[in-house]
Amino acid sequence: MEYALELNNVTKKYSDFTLDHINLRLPKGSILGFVGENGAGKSTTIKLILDTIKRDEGSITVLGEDNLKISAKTKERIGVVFDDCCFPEVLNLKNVDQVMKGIYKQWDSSIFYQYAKKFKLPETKSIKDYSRGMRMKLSIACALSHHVKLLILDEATSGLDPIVRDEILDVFLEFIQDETNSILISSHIISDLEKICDYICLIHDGHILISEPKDNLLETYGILKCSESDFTHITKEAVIGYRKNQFGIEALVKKQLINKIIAMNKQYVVDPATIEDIMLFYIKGKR
Amino acid sequence: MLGLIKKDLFTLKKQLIIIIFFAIFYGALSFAEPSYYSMFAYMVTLFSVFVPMTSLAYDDRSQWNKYAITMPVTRKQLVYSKYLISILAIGITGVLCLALSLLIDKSITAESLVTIVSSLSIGILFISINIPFNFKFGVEKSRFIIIGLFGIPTVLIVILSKANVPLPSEEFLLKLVRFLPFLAIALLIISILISVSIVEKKEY
Repeated sequence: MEYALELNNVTKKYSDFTLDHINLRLPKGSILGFVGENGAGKSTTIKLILDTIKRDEGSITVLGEDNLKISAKTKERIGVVFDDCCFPEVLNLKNVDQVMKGIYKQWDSSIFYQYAKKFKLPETKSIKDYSRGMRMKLSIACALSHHVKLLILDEATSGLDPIVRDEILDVFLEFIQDETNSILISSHIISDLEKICDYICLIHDGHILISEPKDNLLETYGILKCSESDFTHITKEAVIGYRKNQFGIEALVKKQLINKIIAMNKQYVVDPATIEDIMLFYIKGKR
Repeated sequence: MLGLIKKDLFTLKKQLIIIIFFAIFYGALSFAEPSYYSMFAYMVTLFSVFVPMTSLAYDDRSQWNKYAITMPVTRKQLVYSKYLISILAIGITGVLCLALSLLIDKSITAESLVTIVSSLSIGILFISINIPFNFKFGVEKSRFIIIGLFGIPTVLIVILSKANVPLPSEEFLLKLVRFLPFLAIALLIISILISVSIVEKKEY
């Protein structure tokens, strides 16, 4: 399989936080959702990929090139969106077009203005008068207007209302129609990622807990509901995490390992697990 | 690189208009009263050295540098573009001063040449000291560092005069002015090298 992005044992040490031997693979033609709480290491990982901070260990390959020696030609192929619009706020849409034309050889003004029209971005207003949604839309328009092959989005949808998020997710799905294109998207709005991602990677406290195709995850895990006494009959190997509530126990389980006991006993109920459930039980559930 | 310069020009558009306004004001003043000419030269240079500071402040606030290095822009180019815009601003100042001098005296006098060269040199010295601090500590913090730094000579002069050390003669000062441009260029080159090494290592 060809990868748009490959991280091997990437490590970054801070005095109070360590990103510990991260391994990540983004196959071409797919969307990888990078989930985790605030401060789990999502943005640090993305900054390492973009070489805005220096790694201590490991290797990173972006579109087939070592990210420390990446050529300008390959950089043209990468579109980046941070969690805020990073243009000086006195610029307006026309200025941004002019500036980017001077930076990207592949810059395509007609595509840029198409997106601007689609996103209803005003032409002469300066960025400081934009709403947060408009600022993010501007960043996304920029990322898509130089014929990119890889989109890297760091919290690009957070802080936006559901309507705008939906519009933006549609744009991403449209982008991924071309099978040579790929997206890495980090977010803590997991429902967004569940909608569009092919792969999910869960990071917690600088470690990767899960990295799997989304469909696998949804197939593997289920939410088991039962009474406390019934819960004692469940093999501990199957339980990822559980929590008690007034009705009994809710647990994230590996469905395959408890198939037999469930088939025999009607008091067990297993509901499908969402990615959000999986994340919550992995991080906060008791074991 | 062209994109970076364009970005700075767009960012500074409003400030440039203000500077032009002041240049015309002081220009008219010194045209009416030629003894104000040196004030014109120093004032305009003062404005021009604040041009790169403003653009650095905008960059800081919008986290532009973090964004720019994800583009086909190298860290070196980020540094060079800032010096280029600074030198451009000071250069334009120089042209303005020369033009005004020609208008007033119909030729360039030795006196006005000394004024122009010394004010431009001081401008270059100022940005050479200032820009590396801005890259290292950001605009907010380095503002205080710079104010502190420029306080040192003042304090020194006060101490020296209190200690009854004779002030240097005018002749000596004129000699110093002759060396000023060379000092400025040397410091500018060192400053660029330092800024490059700061930005190459910096984590955004």
